[in-house]
Amino acid sequence: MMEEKNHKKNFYSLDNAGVLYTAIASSRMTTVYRMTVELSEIVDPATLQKALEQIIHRFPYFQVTLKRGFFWYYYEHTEAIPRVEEETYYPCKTMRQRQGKTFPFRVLYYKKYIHVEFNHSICDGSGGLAFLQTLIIEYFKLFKGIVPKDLGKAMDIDADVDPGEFEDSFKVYYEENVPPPPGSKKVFHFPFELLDKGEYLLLTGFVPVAPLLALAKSQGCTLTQFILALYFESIQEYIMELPISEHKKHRQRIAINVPVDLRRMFPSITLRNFFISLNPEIDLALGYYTRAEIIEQIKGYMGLYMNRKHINRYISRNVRNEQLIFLRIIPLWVKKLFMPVVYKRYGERGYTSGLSNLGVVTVPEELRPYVKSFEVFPSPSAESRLKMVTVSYDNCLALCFGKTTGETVIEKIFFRKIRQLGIPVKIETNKR
Amino acid sequence: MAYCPKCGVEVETDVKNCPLCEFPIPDVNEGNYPEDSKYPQAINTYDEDHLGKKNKAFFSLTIIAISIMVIIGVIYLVYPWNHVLLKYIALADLGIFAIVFFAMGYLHPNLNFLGAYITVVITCLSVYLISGSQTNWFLSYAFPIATLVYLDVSLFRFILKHTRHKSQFIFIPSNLILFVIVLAIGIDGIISLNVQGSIHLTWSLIVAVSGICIIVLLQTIYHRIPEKTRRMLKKKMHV
Repeated sequence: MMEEKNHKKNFYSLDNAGVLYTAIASSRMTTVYRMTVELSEIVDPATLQKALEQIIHRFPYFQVTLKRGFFWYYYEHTEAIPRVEEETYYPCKTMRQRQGKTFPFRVLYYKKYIHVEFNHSICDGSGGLAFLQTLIIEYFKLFKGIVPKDLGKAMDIDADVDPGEFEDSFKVYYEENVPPPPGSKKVFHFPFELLDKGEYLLLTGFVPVAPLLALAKSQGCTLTQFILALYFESIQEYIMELPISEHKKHRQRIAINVPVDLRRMFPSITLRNFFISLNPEIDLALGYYTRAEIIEQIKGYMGLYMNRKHINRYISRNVRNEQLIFLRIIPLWVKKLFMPVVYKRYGERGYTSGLSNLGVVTVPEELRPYVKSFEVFPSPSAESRLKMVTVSYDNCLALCFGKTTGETVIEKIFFRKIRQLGIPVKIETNKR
Repeated sequence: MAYCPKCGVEVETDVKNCPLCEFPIPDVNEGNYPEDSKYPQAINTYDEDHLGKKNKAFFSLTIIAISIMVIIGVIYLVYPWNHVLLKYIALADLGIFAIVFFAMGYLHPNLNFLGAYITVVITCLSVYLISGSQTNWFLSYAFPIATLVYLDVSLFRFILKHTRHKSQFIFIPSNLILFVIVLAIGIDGIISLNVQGSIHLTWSLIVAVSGICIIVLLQTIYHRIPEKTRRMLKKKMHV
């Protein structure tokens, strides 16, 4: 009975991260991220539409539309059915709100590719991938009649909706009276020229997982840490080649924002946002870092900070900020005015770029021949003009850059480093 | 399969330049952009999305401006009221409408700016002609000052365009001070030319000298004093 009631829920308040994302969203910072799956054959739009219609009832918390309240945005259930569209615009385009007609996600297709773009205010990469995997399984069920036995992380569309899937886990695992984490310092930002508003470039490098993993093992770190180290090294190399004085070079610090999926740390099954970002950094005032030193630095940092106690400090700070009565009673339009400034000052100031690892994505064994690759791209941002998401599927790691600048110098250094390690790289981009 | 000879990475077949380093990739088959590229030629909808609202606002303003003109015209023709006042109202209506049109940015920024300048000059000229003033204030003050401000703002925009990616704390104040200096010298010159018959700068020189000092100071902070000069200063100034 309780479940039935929740299933028919009409109103969803935003979760802790969603509150921030809606407040800072603009035509450049669209807060929309993209997930791409490449199939072995051309996508059939009619089947994809049918698959989407079949699965949307299993995700009532995504079948919603964003509305303006007086103090906060909120999501309201809508009976409308989302439509698949052929890709014609730039990726991660702003999501406009039209009363009751727009969804916080869009499903696109182009040739052999299916793209699902989610507004970050409704779910994070983990929730988005569950939706995408379910969509693919349903698509092939309709298209080829394949009914897989093991669904993996995808949802069973005949099962009931568990209220835990749309809980705000930040609030559930929030502990009062935990002191806030230390503030961030100003770090190096890429001085690249921005693209026009509305434009967004993607660049993916595909590399085989096995040799990279072996190299990481030989250095005694994880794959993410190894890629992070290479990324740090590339940015460091870029700064060292800049035509600025030695003195200035040594005043830079590089920090990279690394989101941590908290579902691994807390027993949560939510499909909405549940992550916290850590900021490993290197300070060039201490000198030039070798790769081994960077790896040591990252390992030390993660060892020290990636635990429940420290993460709790971030969660409680964020939830406490959201619950401040002075912030809550400010009308939404005022919040919209000053939140981007606050975010720029306190949020993005503290990191140079972002690297998010979504880990290994799987599809049921029966679908393996039909699904060729997965990619996930970060949402655009003006302050940190280049961000990376990595995701691996079928022994192939996709290093996906999303950027609001036309420069490719960082990627050039980064991928040449991987080439120097003797690992083949394949580059794909939407830059013309 | 195509590879970039410089980066050593594999690229999509048919691309002309390496996506990383722009190095031209030896072409196997001639042709334009790859037929089976992964992404379509993307369309940027930003302008379109924002044009709708702008057009609505501009349309309403046009209606209002036209109705005012019609009302004024009817009154002018039918009702023997203060004709000079009516001319002023019509002029204000036209002038404000033109300025709003240029401010909405339908044209290229340079053209908008030039348009605003011409509007100001024409408005001043019309006011001068309507009022039938004894002194020729249009030619002696209004036109030179409008031209001065136009040139000064153009200079400001030009410098800003070339320095906007450099340190904002150094270049924006420098720019503003330069703007004020040019404006001060210009106005001082125009006033003295009209009052005394020749260009005789007074107070603007004080503004200029102190302003240039601040600019030099700011630029020195940014560029630092050259090594050679620093060594020389160190020797000469040691205590």
